[in-house]
Amino acid sequence: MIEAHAIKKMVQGVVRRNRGLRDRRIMHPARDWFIGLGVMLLCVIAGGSYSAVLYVTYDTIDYSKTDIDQTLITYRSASVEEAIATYTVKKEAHDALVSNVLAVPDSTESSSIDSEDVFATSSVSMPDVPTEVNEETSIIEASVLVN
Amino acid sequence: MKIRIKTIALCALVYCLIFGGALVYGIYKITSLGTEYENSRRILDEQQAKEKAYYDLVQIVTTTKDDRATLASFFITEKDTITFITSIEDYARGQNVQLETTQLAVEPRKEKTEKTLPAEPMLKIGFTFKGSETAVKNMVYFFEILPLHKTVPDLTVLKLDDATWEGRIALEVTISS
Repeated sequence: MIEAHAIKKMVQGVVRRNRGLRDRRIMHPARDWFIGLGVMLLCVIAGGSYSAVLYVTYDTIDYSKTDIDQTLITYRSASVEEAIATYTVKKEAHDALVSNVLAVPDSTESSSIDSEDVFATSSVSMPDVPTEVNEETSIIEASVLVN
Repeated sequence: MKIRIKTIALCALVYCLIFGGALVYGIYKITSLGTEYENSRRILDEQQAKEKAYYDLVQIVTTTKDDRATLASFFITEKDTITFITSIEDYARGQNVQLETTQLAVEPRKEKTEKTLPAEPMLKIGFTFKGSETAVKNMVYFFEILPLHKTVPDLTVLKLDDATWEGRIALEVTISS
């Protein structure tokens, strides 16, 4: 019959064997070297990837599509020229009409003159003032530009 | 031996902490500088755009000086309104037309609203004129060809009798501010 003391001795033997298997060395140069190398490699790969992402991010920013507050200044030269042409014709006709009337000293008889005679004898030319021009838009645009 | 190992381990830990901290600080610095670069680049682009717009405007102002002066002559100013009315009265007198001013008011400038565009101040003026048919027609033609920016919201010509005609006109003349 196995005594308790014998069993305890056997167990202690096993435990001691296991304890004996324990590696008491804290540093393993080869293992630690490769672990360090692996960690460093991971750091290099992570850093390189991050740098690449940063570079691509800042290199591909399209500033032309950003919401830059640009005041677009347009000068509608065609409208201005059209307005000037229209009003120049009016001004010439107006000046001619006014100068003609002011040149006539006796205006008391003008009311009795037949209209056809007036137009026939008058030196005032009645040019066809273009009415198709959209005065509102063209001149208002021009006035905005003037202001 | 044990103390030496502990020293080496401590040195390694300190080394890792220092260089780990340096790495984190480097990443933080790069990120913050990148944001700063992005903002600076945006501001620079805005400034360049404004500068370009300014030089474009200067060029437009320079090259259109004559056109603008011509256009300005087609608008009256508030101080020219008396001269304007006097010129109409002179012309009517020359035509032997009885001219009566029925309305004279200045409508102030309308500011831009959500529904309407801004409008310059207007000189609202109305006349009634009597005379011969020719004279009344000439007056109408005179008003028509006034070389000023205007609208004619109302025009009426009546034949009172064989010799006398009457015209009524309302004008809205834009006043340049």
